[in-house]
Amino acid sequence: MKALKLGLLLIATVILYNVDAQGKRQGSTLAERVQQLTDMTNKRPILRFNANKFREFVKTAPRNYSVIIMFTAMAAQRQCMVCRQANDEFSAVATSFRYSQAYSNKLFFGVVDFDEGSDIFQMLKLNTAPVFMHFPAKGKPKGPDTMDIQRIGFAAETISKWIAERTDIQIRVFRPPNYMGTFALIMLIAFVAGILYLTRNNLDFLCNKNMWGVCALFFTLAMTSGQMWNHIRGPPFMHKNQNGQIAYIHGSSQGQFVVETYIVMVLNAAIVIGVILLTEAAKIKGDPKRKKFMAISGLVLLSVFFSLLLSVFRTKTQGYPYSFLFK
Amino acid sequence: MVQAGSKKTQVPKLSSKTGISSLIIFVVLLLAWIVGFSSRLFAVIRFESIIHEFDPWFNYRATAYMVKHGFYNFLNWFDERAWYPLGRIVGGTVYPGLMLTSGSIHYFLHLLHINVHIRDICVFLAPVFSGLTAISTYFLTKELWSAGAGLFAACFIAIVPGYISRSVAGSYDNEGIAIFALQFTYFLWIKSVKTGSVFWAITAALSYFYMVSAWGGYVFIINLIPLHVFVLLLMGRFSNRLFTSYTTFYIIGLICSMQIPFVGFQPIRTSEHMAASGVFVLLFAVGALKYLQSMLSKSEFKSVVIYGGLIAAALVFLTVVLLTYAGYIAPWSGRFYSLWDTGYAKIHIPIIASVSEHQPTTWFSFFFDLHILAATFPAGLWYCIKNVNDERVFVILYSISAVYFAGVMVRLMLTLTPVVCILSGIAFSGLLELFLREDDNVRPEEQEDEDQNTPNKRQLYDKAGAGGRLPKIKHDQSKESDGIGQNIRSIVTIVIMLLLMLFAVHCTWVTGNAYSSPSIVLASYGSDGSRQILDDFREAYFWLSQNTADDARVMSWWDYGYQIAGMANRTTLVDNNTWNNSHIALVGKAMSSNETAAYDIMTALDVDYVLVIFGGVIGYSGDDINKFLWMVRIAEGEHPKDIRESDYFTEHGEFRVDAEGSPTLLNSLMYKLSYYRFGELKLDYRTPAGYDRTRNAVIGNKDFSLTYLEEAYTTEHWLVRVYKVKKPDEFNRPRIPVANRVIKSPNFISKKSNKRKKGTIKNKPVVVKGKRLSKNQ
Amino acid sequence: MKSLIFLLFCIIVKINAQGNTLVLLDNQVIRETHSIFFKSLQDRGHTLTFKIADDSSLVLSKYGEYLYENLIIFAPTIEEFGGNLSVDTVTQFIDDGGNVLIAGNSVTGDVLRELASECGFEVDEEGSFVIDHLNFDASDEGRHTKLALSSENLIDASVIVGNKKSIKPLLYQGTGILTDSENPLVLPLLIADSTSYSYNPDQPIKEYPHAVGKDTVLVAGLQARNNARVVFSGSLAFFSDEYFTSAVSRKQGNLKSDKSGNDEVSTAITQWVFKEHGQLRVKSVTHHKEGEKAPPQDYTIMENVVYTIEIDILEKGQWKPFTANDIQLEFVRIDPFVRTTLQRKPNGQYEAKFKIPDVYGVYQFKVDYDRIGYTRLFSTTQVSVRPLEHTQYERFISCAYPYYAGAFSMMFGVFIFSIVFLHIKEDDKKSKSD
Repeated sequence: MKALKLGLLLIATVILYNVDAQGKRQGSTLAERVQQLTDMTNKRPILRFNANKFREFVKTAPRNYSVIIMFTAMAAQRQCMVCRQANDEFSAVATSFRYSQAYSNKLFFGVVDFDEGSDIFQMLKLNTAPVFMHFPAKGKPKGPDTMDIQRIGFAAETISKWIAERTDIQIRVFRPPNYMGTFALIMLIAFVAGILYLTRNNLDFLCNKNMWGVCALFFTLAMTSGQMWNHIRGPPFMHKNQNGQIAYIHGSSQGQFVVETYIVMVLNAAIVIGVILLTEAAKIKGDPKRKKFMAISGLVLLSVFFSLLLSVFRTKTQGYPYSFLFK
Repeated sequence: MVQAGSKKTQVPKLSSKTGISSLIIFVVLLLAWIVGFSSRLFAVIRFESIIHEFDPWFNYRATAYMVKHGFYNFLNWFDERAWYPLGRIVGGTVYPGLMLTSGSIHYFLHLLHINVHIRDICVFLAPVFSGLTAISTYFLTKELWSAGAGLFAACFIAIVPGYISRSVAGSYDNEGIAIFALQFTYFLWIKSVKTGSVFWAITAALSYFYMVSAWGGYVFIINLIPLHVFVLLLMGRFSNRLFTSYTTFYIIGLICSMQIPFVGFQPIRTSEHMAASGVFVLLFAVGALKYLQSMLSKSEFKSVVIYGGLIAAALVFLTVVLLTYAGYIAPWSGRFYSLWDTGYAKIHIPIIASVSEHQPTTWFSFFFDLHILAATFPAGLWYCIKNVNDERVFVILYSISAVYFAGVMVRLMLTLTPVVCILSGIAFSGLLELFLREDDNVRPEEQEDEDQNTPNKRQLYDKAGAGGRLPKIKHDQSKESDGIGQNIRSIVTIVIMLLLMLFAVHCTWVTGNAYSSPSIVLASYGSDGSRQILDDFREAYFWLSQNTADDARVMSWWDYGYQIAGMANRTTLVDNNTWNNSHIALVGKAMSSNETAAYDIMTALDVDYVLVIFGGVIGYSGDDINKFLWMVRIAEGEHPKDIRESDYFTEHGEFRVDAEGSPTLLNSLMYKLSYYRFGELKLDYRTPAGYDRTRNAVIGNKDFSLTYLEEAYTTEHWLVRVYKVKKPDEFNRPRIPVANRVIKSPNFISKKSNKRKKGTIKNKPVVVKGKRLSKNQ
Repeated sequence: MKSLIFLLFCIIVKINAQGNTLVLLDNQVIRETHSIFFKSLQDRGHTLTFKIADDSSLVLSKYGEYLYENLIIFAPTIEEFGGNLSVDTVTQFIDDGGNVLIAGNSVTGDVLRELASECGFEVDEEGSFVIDHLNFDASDEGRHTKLALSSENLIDASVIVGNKKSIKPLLYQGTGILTDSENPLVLPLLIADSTSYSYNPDQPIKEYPHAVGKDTVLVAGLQARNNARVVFSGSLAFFSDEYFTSAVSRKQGNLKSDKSGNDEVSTAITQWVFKEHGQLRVKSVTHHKEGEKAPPQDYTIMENVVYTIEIDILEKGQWKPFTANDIQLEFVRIDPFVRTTLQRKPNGQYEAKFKIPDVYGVYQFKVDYDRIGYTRLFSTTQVSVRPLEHTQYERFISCAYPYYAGAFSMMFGVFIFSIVFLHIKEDDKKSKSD
């Protein structure tokens, strides 16, 4: 008997769902809606809502489930790069919820595209995308129900954390494993191995000290010019202030711009070359003219670029008294 | 010792010069020592002979304890005044090398009846050791390149800010002696690699033991030396010398290092140390192969090498992996892991990310700490690579790894500094030795000059150069020479001298301005250059020590734990060795939740006093409100249900203390304790009342009163504020506030006055005959 | 003989040395109508000082010293105290450990209301009586405000109200009291029956009564955290001679007795409120390792520790050993690690033996004995528990024998090798060395 009932219900819902697929249907009971949502979620972890579906599933009053909606503009002509990244992260969360133990019909993920439901955007007075909103089971979404992507960004982990804050459902994010990195690495290794194999009968280029030296120098210069800081902190390339002029050097000693680090790197490199030139000039045997030229150029490189470096340093330290050649 | 060192470098045919050269070496090193020592005394001269900021206070306290109670009691010291109520086993959680060093110095001095207070020894330990560092750097560089370069390096490291920053007088911390141990260990290691003698290897191991006992940075050594060996193997530079020295060093070093209680079984249990043992095995494998090579024929040998090598590598790798999974080998600890995956700490370990010296390094601080050396040491590196040999491989690896680590973490600039000094010493000496030469005919055999046989003549000259500022230079280069013209030679020399002088003054300036403030005594300079001392910290700590019960528990953020313990001698809840994250999170939760919730935590931890640092009056930026977000984050890490970082930001996601600030922030305990009674305070006529000079804002929550705490003491400049936590019986009878009373009684106007003291009684009963009194009740 | 007399004398002095009490009255008449009550107090050695409540010369303390230990306010209709007495001074008096007994009635004055709500109860509106149309006394004049209550309605704490079983039914007429439900310290000493409510009997009932059924407290008590005791009775008549003497008869469950129980109850209550009953104190606390006498400077983990506490109770002016079997000891470091019931020892001591857990830290012996009617006993003793010293670990571990064997075989091997090495021929040595 019960089974029969259940079967009926299923059939009914399927029918209803098909009807719903044509997008004209009114006032279904809570159970039905939950059922439909579950079915749709089983099909695709993220439900696409157009205007009336949004009204039906998200707006209508009696709900015992909460919905996380990403308002976005994925259409090509919108040229919203952020939306794409956001979409990936969001789908990562949704999928890992779909296939986690915590999966229940208390929480659904939906996306509303601007081109499908622009009136929803007007209704909710949204003029940016992407926006993540949580529609709680009871009541209207309040302030914290909109995720603050300006501050915390929209990495999948932060999204799941935010969801856990709003609805006490913990989602462990399982990203689809990214094979790109490993693949590239393997390719690189294969490449190197191939070269080694091809040139196996003269491997002396491995003993080429100049190559090693240049590599080492490059690495050191990169480090001393704070590339690692850039890598971790991700500063802007350069700074353009209100009235348009561009600052290449960060004002304070705490920060730096990417350009700035390149400049410093070049300066350091020039100094190093200067020193090397000087030394070589004194070392090598040969005609004095060449040696003179090398020595002078090395000297010029050394002194000029060092004093440049010093002056850059000076601009960043207040009250630094010393300078060389020019301020 | 110095004499001996210089004697070793002499070549018989030039024995006449030996005396002078060794004298000069001696003088230069002595000068380096003196200069290094005296340039570290800024703090002592400006302020007083006092222990500096945070950790040194614990080291000092521990040293004093050891001097007082003896070594074994120190080893078993259970400090019940720290981490209340957990307590801390000090003996098992410190690197005792520092205490032992200063303790033994103290002991010897007292043996000689020189009664020095242990504090002075602690204050001046680091500067003294800086001299030793210079000497060991000299020897290391001499082994690597030449005595001249060595002298340059010694002079550099004596004054370079990157090293001074951790070794000024009063900053009594592990690094002060560790750098010496580091350099000395490397010197002995190079020595043993060159000689291949067991003796040097053992000395290296012992010096390594000292390093292990002194600083956690020993891991750098135990990874760098195996790396050196490994690279040498790759370069096919295997030799019996290498085999002997490394095996001896590894075994003895391992056994010794496991004697330090704090290290214990880590060397065989944790991944940080696995490289060493792996290389140990590999070295044996290679040795075995070499032996086979001597026996087998070429073809057999090739196959043996290939298969054997592959199998061996696979086996080693597998065993390590398996052991790791089986739990015998602990995976990388967070601090080390954050070195590789540079974003790791920021996400996972706020307690590490919160420390300012764990931040990455800007080019600015590279230049600030190394000045011209930062720009020239690649040249030295270049020449090391150009004419490479066993030990130069070492310095190359050293520089490259160190520069990487320094890029990731500011504090590891310390490990970079010595190698930078060595390399730029090599660069400068290489430069000057060519430009100060009187005749060029000696050049040929100098081209391929390797380690020992550096003609003394040249040494002598660039020693003059390295000693800098010796007038000899002038008449040296006044000699005639062909090739590059005499003028260019002199110009180059002069320019380089100028640069070096610039370096010297820079170092002095940086030392004086940046690295010489003992951060417990602040100095502020007025517009007319007048200096006034803000001694609020010690004022507050002294107040605590005088006016609170001996077993009073003081709750503060962990930065101030060591100082409270050291100066006020009171029980603290958390302090600067942040070994228990959850306990810190508890304190953070108390600080960041509202007063009522905080009171529950504080009573659970039976806190008596709360101490907060507040810089709003004098504009001191390192105060607790600026650290507050870290407290919130750390608390959130442990109690995500109760504390949420997002609650402390405004709608626009900014952290502000003024009226727009989020209500959660404005009602948090830390906020209230910092700004209690601050609303009335009017700093000067320009700004309104309650104007915070640090945040440059008028505070949002002005006139509030504290329910569960009362202000106990506030220092002169409001820098430190101490609050007393009320005990439960001070809220004697929970009264029903007027708001939630069921029966509203009309508020009653007193008829009493000074004259008329008589009260009033409603319907005073008039006794009428024949009426029952109980009626009208 | 002399000494005996002296002893007796001492005892008598002690008994008489009950604190002196200030009694505030509406009028001198009350002194007559409640003579039995006051008499019993004086017999118990209280020296009473009667004052009219609006007397302009009222003072509680002089030069920071309190003149009285206890305060009785039998002035229901007082609007404002005379002299420098006020709600604040009285609450301050309570906070400094003074005991107060207040009796109100249907026309309780505002100052008493204030006082009541300072202590966590509220007096119902003016003119309201506790009415019960079923459980009224026979002598009631039709308004059903003179309640006859069975002794079941008393709080079951023999320290406060005496033995419930033996107490005869009680008479009560007056207003009802509402107690603050959040307040853990308030005790409902006497509550009304389930059929009663508190309202003005002369007015038609418009809104829902403030207190209904068993929520209407008739006599409320409070033991503050500093063990000062306050009792607020909604009825002054409760203590009156008339009620003490008159017979009680109630139709409902025919409650009948020729004399009401008010006398005993009020005696018991006054004995409680004036701290003649239920006064506990911790006499001494000692702790030491098992088999030792003196407490060590700090304990080591896994040691057996003995904790002893002596608890006294005040009986008739003397401290006597207190007997109970439900006193518990906790060994706390943030959370309790050990919780055990203290064993009674013959000489009035309580003792607990337990093993310190395998966790070092700073612990507290905590005895928190909080029973209704008794003063709250709270004693903590802080001790620090340290880990094993480096000499206290076991020396030879069985599972390490292979390593010992390895070490010794190594030594032996080196010995052999050195012998071989020393007695080997030159050329071999040379070839080996390079």
